[in-house]
Amino acid sequence: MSAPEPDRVTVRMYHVGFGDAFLVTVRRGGGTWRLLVDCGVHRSGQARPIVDVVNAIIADLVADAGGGPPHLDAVVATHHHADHISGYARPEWEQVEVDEVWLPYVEDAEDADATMLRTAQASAAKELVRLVESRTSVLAADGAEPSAKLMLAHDFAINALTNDDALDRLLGRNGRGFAGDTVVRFFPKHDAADNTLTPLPGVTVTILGPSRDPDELRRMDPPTSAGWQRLALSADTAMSPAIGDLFGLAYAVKDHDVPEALRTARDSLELAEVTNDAGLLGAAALLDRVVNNTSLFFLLDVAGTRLLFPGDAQQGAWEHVLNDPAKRLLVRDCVFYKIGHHGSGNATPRDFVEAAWADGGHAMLPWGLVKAWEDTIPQENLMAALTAHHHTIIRNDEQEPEPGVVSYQGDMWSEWTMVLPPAGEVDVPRPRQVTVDR
Amino acid sequence: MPADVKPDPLAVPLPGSRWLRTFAFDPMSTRLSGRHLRVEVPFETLAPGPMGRSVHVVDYDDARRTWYQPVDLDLGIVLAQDGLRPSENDPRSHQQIVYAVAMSVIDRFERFMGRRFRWRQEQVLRLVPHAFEGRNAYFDPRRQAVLFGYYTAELDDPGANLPGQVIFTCLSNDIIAHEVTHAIVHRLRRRYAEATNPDVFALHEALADLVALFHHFNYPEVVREAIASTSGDLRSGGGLLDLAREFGESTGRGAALRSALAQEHAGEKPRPFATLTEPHERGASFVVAVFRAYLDSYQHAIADLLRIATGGSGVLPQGALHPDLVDRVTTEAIHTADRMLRMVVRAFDYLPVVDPSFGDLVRGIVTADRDLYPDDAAHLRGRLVESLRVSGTYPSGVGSLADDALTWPVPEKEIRLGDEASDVDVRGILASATQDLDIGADAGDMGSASFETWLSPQQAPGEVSAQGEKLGQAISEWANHHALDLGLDPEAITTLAGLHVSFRIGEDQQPRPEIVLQLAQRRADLEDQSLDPQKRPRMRSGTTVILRADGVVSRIIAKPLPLRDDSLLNGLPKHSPARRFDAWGTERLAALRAWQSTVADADPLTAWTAEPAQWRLNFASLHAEPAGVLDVGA
Repeated sequence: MSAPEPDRVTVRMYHVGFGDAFLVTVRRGGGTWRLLVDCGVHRSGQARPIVDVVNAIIADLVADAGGGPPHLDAVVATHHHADHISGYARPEWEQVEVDEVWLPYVEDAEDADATMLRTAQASAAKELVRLVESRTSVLAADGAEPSAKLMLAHDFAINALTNDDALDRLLGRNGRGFAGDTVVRFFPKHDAADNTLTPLPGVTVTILGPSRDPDELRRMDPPTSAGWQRLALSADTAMSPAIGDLFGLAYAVKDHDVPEALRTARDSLELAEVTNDAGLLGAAALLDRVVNNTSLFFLLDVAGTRLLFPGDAQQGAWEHVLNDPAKRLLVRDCVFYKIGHHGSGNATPRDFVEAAWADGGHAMLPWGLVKAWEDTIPQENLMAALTAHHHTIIRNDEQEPEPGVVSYQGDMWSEWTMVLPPAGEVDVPRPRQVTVDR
Repeated sequence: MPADVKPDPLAVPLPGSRWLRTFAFDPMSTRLSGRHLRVEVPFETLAPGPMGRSVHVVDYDDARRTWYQPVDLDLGIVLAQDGLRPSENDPRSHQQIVYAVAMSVIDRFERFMGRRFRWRQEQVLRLVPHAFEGRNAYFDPRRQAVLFGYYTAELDDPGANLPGQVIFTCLSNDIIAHEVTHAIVHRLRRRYAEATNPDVFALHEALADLVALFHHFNYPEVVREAIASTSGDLRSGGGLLDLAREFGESTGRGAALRSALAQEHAGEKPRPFATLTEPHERGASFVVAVFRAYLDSYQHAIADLLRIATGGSGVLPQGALHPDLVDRVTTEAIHTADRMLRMVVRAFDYLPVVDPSFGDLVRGIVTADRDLYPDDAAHLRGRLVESLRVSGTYPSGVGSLADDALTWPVPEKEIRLGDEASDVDVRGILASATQDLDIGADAGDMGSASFETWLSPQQAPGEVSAQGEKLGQAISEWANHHALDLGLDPEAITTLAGLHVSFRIGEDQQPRPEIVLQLAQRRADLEDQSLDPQKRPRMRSGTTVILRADGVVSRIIAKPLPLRDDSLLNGLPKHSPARRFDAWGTERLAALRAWQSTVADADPLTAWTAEPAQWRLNFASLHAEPAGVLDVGA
């Protein structure tokens, strides 16, 4: 056996495009712990086929396995948006041993609150897709293109669909799964003590979110209507039939039977432009946010070196962290921050950047170009504020190597490394039975 | 009348009013009660549509590419039966109903405002009764139109309707009155369509609900029935409260208001205004406070009648009330409702040009009323202020709730329009407005039409009247000359956003002329310079100036911003108005910016689009969910 590698923690960000895939490797006291946080890409922002990334991750795991099968100690799916989990649908994962899968409790089929929320979110997503698509087909029949609002609404709604294939793999359902024995764990637990895990001596993971507070749950409630239209929030809600003629045919008159002033008024009113597209978009964006706010939000502490992974938690979902003095203290000293929600304007609170987080850390930006959001994501003000607080932003599209700390492999990944002081060698016990731990 | 037309001695004079039938107050409640209403509107000659002076009903169904036959309300047989019988199946009666309710609301505003009401640029308001399929109806400022939707009652929870039945929002008197009020408020204060603080849209909502609600008290037959049905409980006003609770019942509108009224009915203490953040709730809180003041005033007004009717005991006998007593109480109920609503509507001229709050509305109400009725003999104002105090709605920064503290401040030094700093013909403005009031005479040469023509930014240059342009320039120059005293910036461009003269009847029964100027400035220098100039939330300041007939400024209602060049303050005394305005402007700027980021944070679309989130708060989104977009907190 060669000399033990120095203790260190690395975060490798794979360049999927607009999506997240982070491989975290902790080496401490001779033990190694590997965690994959998300693996997915948005369908409108793919840098490469997601299978290429899956294969790259697996190849890296194989290279690191010393001749054994590729192995992950834990896989995290922060929330069920496609840009975070779509890659798990790939069959290539069947060759990878995964000991644990961590999911937010909203994915727990046995949790009543979660089931209600999940069903409502799924129905809202389906209903929105249906509304957007029926409107698009009405437009198409007239030879008209869908508006930008409508297309964006469609993107959100599709992204929020449950992504069943990927979830099957994560939950070990329908014959899908990983190699080896896998424990599926849902977080946070009701008992606060159960939300701190110790995968290796001196290494802890603290689950900070999503909140189970009933008031906070409201932030995960799906929209009940899309502008002028009610959304059917459970599958058995009857849909209203389409409206046929409003009045008897005798009341309909021809253009030339109507005074000219009315015809002029009609033309200037542009009634065909009166649409509910803004309403559909508003609801779809709200749905997008409520799913983001189900994100598993956690802090990794390796012998005092802290890394923060908020998933895509947006504004509201940070409040219970930043408003809790103990948790606020935890996030203060992070040296690494996975930038939430691809650098959008309301996923990294001003309070976090301006006040809560100490200066001089590293922040990784999982981002790829989506033309429609080119001007808004990442948000310039946020990037500027991070830079103003002396944080280094690591991104695939603007590579700036920092010897021993930040490195890149072409366009495939970026990596951040922190070397740690040595610690004693330890044995890492592994669970070996298939259980679902709730 | 032009000199070459010979008067016809046998001509029949035009009638003063036209009566039109509507549902009471929508098809569902009419089905339950069997009741219809007859709405009185000022008579005007109408073209089929109907198309009149102020509104045009455009019944084109774009989804079906169909015109529905426009109703001719001037047909003899239609006139002879007070319009068509309201029917859900006859689109012509839909047209009649939107026309009738819209006109009666406009007519009420005109009477309350003390001046003729005109839409900007003499445009008419368009009412589109079957504009789209959807559970909404809204005023669209860009189209200068109210668009009404229709939808099917839910299959599993249709309420008192048939499952799947088509519900027309254009048949609800409440919705029509509410939306037309939005249009009128927009006409009077255009910048209130910009959600610059949590109160702006709440205020729009409150005024629209208030007018629609008090419109229920405009129909003697309805009020009489409500009173007669509550014989034992006359003093508590229970029947009137029931009437108010019918508001918007079947159409799903006014839920916040109904729940606030239910609390009132149950004798619960209202939630303090300051804790309410959602615009509908804030609006409802204000409306209920006004309604409570109304009930108090009504009870006071009928106390003597009850004593007379009961030989002094105040205890009514069992059974039906004497019809004469019901008649007299009905008269008082209607009269009091009218005075209460009048007091609120009259406040409009005393509202700021931009960025209003409920506190501003309270100050406007008190100032307007006090200027006309210094003694408040009927104690209406006192009751309203007390009721608003109970609900927690009062302006910030006032020392007490005494009249003196609540009225807008008077200028500390004399400023006069028409002084050496300006070439403004104040007498000409007054004379023209006076002439406009005589409906038999020709319109004044500076009538509201020409005032407004050049005030509209959409106006093509060739159409601007030279006289109007000159007047506007002169007033803007005058405002910039006195900018420091008016809460404006001398170095920013001042636009005249409104100019009118009103004549209101005072306590002494004499008309009080008043000139009202709305001065506005856009302060691009204070906007977020990192954003595209076309896609920034605007920073505006503005001042409403009230002038006496001699041109002397009597009230300054300012919403200032900090001066671009604060060296202008050098040498001014510590307590000079300019320093106060500047300090207040600094506070206001911080509040505007904080609100912009609150709105942005609350709106899930902020992450995705460069359009300012504040712009997505509009009339169409106001009545349509999703909540969460509007529920932005304070």
